[in-house]
Amino acid sequence: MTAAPAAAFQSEHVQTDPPPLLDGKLADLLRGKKIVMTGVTGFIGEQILWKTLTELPDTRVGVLVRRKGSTSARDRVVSLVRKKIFAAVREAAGGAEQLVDTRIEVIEGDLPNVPVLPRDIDVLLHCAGDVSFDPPIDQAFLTNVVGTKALLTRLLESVTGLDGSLERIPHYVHVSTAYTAGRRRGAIPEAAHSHDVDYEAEMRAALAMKDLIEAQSRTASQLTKLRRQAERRHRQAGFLTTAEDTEARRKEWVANQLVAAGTERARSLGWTDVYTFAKAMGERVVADVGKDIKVSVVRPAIVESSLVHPYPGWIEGFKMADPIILAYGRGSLPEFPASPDAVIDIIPCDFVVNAILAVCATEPEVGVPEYYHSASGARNPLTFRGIFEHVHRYFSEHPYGTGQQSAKLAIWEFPGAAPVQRLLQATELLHSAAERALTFIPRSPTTRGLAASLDRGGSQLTFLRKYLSLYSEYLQSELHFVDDRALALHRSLHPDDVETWGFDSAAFDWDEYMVGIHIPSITDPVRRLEAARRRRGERSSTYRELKPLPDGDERPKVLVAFDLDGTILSTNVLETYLWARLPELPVSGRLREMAGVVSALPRYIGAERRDRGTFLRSVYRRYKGADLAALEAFVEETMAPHMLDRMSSDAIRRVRQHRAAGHTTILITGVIRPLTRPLDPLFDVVVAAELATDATGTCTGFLTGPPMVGESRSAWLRHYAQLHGIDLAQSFAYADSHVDLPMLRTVGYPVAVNPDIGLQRAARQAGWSTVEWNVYSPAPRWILPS
Amino acid sequence: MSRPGFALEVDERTPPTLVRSASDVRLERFSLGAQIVYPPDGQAWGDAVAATAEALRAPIEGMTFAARLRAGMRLTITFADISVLTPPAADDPRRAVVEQLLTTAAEAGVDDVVLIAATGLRRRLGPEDMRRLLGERVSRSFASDPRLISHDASDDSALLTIGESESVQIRFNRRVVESDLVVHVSVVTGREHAGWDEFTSGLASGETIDLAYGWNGDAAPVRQVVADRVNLVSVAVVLGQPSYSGPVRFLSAREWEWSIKDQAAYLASRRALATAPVQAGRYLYADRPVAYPVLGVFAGTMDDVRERAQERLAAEQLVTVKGTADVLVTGVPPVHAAAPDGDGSPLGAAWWVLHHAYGLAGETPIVREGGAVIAFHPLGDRFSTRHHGAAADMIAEVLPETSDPAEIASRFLPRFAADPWYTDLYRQRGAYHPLHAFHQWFDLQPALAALGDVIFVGADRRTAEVMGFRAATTYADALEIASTRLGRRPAMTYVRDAVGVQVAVS
Repeated sequence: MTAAPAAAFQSEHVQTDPPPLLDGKLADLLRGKKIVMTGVTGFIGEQILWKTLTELPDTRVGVLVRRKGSTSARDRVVSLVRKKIFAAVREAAGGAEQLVDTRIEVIEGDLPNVPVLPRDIDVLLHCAGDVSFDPPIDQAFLTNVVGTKALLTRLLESVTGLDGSLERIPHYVHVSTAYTAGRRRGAIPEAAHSHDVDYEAEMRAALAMKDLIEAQSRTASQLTKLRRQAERRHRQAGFLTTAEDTEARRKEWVANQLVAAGTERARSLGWTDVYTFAKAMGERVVADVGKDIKVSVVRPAIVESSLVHPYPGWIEGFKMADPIILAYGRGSLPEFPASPDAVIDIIPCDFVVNAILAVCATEPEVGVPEYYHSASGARNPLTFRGIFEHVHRYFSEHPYGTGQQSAKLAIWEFPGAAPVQRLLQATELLHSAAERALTFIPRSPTTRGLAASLDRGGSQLTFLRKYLSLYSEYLQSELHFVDDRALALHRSLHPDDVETWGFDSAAFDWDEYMVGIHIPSITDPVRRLEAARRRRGERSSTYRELKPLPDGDERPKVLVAFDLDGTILSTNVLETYLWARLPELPVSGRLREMAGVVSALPRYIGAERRDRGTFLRSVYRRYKGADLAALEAFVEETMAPHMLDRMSSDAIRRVRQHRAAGHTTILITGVIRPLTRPLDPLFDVVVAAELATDATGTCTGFLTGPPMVGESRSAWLRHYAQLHGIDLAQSFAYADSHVDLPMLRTVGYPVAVNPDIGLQRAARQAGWSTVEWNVYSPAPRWILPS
Repeated sequence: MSRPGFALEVDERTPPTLVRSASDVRLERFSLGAQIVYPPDGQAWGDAVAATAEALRAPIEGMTFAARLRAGMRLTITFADISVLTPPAADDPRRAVVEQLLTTAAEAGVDDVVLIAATGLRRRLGPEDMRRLLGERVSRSFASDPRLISHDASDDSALLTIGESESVQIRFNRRVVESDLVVHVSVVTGREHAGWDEFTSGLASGETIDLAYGWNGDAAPVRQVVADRVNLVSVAVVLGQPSYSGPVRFLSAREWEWSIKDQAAYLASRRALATAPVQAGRYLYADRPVAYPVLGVFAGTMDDVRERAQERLAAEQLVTVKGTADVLVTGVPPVHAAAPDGDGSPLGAAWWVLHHAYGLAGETPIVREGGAVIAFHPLGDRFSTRHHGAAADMIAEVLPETSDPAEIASRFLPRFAADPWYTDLYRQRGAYHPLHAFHQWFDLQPALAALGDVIFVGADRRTAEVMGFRAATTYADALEIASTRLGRRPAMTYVRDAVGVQVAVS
């Protein structure tokens, strides 16, 4: 058992200056009162609403809820009380709608655009706020400072008479966070933090920052940089895809800059991050604006799943420590850069809820804000070493996966931050080197496997990097939150209330809580989810089973687009060019032509990397002087067998299954038209490049129109679908390379076939199926058709 | 005469024996007491041109060929396709026969001559194949207008209805039926060559071939209708065992007679095949023509010619083994009757093993009922999807659902046969007829019904499973599998080379 930090002060636990205490049962104290609360759709708020409805039958409840899209605030509350925990009250009321009608006054509104509040509020409980640790600076201030100020102002309005004097004195209860203490150290008292930061000035600056960074992101130099990055990945796919990615990158850049601005500003003033900084500013707003009413501030530490109410382990979503616990269970956290003796101040959610509602029942003095910590660190501390032992024990007894999925559990030595950082940095370097190397390896199932494992490693690295930078401050935290006033409040509970309403943070055992309640409550849903995902299997999403269309049925309005090179045939345009051209040349001419192609290869590869269209044009330029009719005849007689020999039987089978299902089959390719003739019987429509000819039928080396690559394919498909009334969302597309991304995005069921790495990643991100179609050529590549 | 074939009984001094598994070669040691069937030792001798002239001048019975000709008549020369001679001959005897026939016809003032390859359900021959079979002169002078063609079992305009059986129209090649005289040229290297079956199955429509040779087919009525309608002369060239020369001499040389050069060539080709892409194996063997000894040429009526030719062939090829074997072991060469292009499907390999090799002893089985066959073939997916598209789809779509031939014949065969894509590939692109894969599967059924286990060494497990076979990694493992039914010391017969040999069981 770790010695509690509070014990070192050798004093009675309860401070000499006690807070306002409770003098009766909570239900009685709050009887007939009207509590209006914010944030009921959030984690803590939901349980507060539940507790109020369940345990305080005579308390009137109002909720301030934001409209979400087309869902009204009332509908959101109705669906909220349909959740399992509300079952008892809901049934008592006769249904979710009835429960809302009889017990809950729904006020539709937003922070900071708070609507006019009802004039009979006794307690306004504000527990809405960002829970993210790294919001953009403007967002942080908007919700925590501007929003709080607006809410308080509306509250004051609602109790102010026509003459400007207060008609009633309501109680405003503010839920903040213990970490508003920032980078202070040691014991943190339950009182206002001393600092002289001007929150008005900070607020203005934060909001101005948004405009500034938005403007910076639009400067030519910045946009050029972003465009170059986007081009490096998407140039082949076309301008629109690149533009889309550029804009996505700009938004991401703005968000990152705003986050960085927040973090740096917070640190420059002594806070860990903008979350705690803005929360601290919010507390100051409460003290200032609420100076004429009753004000209390509750500061919970890290809120995790409930110990008892509404049931042990109740939690919504993932909280701060949970991803780390899961990552440990999966075996992907070999070491942890925390101080082993630093306290991770976790407090079960029902303790926080009980404390908040108890505070609501108190009657503080006007103009004297009361502060309460809802934390465990002072009297029941859990160190990182301690939590490691619980987590380790849990996963030893209940391994996250069995068999192939099982992971070796690491033993953390807590070497400190620096070695872990170094290890991470070295791994990141190695990763980016491998990433670069990968772009030069020709594609094959092996390369795809490599890329996939590299990506898995990469996302693990990103996860580690994010958590370490976000939480590194907390991992070394040396503060303990004195909770004497909260304890005093707990001790003033009516004896009958203690069981239902108790919140003494020293009254539970960590091992029972972590191993018995909390860790199962967060890992079990994930286990179920992953088991379900495994059951669904690999080919889950976009690769569909096709059923033949019964005779006489109308053909569905569905198309399927196939790419040619690499998807159906294992050929490429240069190879087919050589096949088509060489046999008609004399031997010396063949040599010259081969030498010409080989010497142009670097140029072609460069063009291919930049823009597929340019590449095709420069290859097709070589057809200049060829007789088109002769070319057609040659392809028909001699090249067709060679091309068909390189069909993938899987691809052909798939095309035929689509035909049998009644789909309109479309071959869409940048290859010249004569070369697609052998496949004509398989496709309803063939879209290919047409070679332009002069009056004598000789190829000019130009095309009649731009080659069908990248975005022109998606445009073509959209137009075709519109003309023929085809439902693209029900349609299919099959392609093999990153260039085809726009085409694949056009349809509802895109499938990547033997993809290059760019497409493989895009497919995984979008949840598209990837298939490996066997392509085999019985004749060696170097054999010319003859 | 060539050195006759024989059955070697393995003893301590027997060197490891060559086994072929598609384009791979290896040496295996067979257990003591096993019998290894060696075919006769081929040597290129005999003159096809002179023998043909002699045969045409002196047919087995009746008029000479020249005497049957008259000016202005319609003459059609049909000839067996590439599947009858694998590996291909360096100097194909069909050329000598056809050239002489054409010369004689020209001398008699016959102008209306058409040459038709009796390809049946097999792939139609292209200009390159014709050149290889008939030589530059014939193929060039006949190629200009369609007087040198490959039979098309799906071309309604080139088929004529000549009868009916079981309410199926018997349709036959129109030109053949309408000719005044038809000369059928056969190349005889196996029991099934020459005769009416070769002729009817080579020149009828798809449905007719299915009626006669498909599941529960009956060839007799079709044969009869055709024989009644066609005025036919048959010429058959009987060929002996092919002999390889040069760097691949080790393929046909007996192991104890391998020279240093042969051993080096064997090792070198093993090394090369292990590292080179799969296509290299095909390059190494498939396109390499070999020399065949000409054993005799016979002319006359179809039945006479078949009888005499088969007699001659059996005298050359027959090897007697002692007793029925428990286990038949055989390799599968890269080029064989079901894969004349060296790019055969797993179905073709199975056909070669369970129809051809299993039937080497004719009616008396070479392996006892309940016995096992161990074959060497990868059964992989590396084959031409242009040639064998229907076989690929059959393995992927039909066999996983059912392997019952009756069900396959009723549920899947009609759909495949009517599929326009297969028909287009068959008619335009040199693919096998979609029915061909089905017939191959039907051909396996007698063997599958009689055998306990069929084990393929080095086979793709998924394909083997779909086809109802077992896959073993090594020959030793295959023996282990076989031993569960047949005990530790089964009587074994290994057919060293299933080309140019027939087996008799004493």
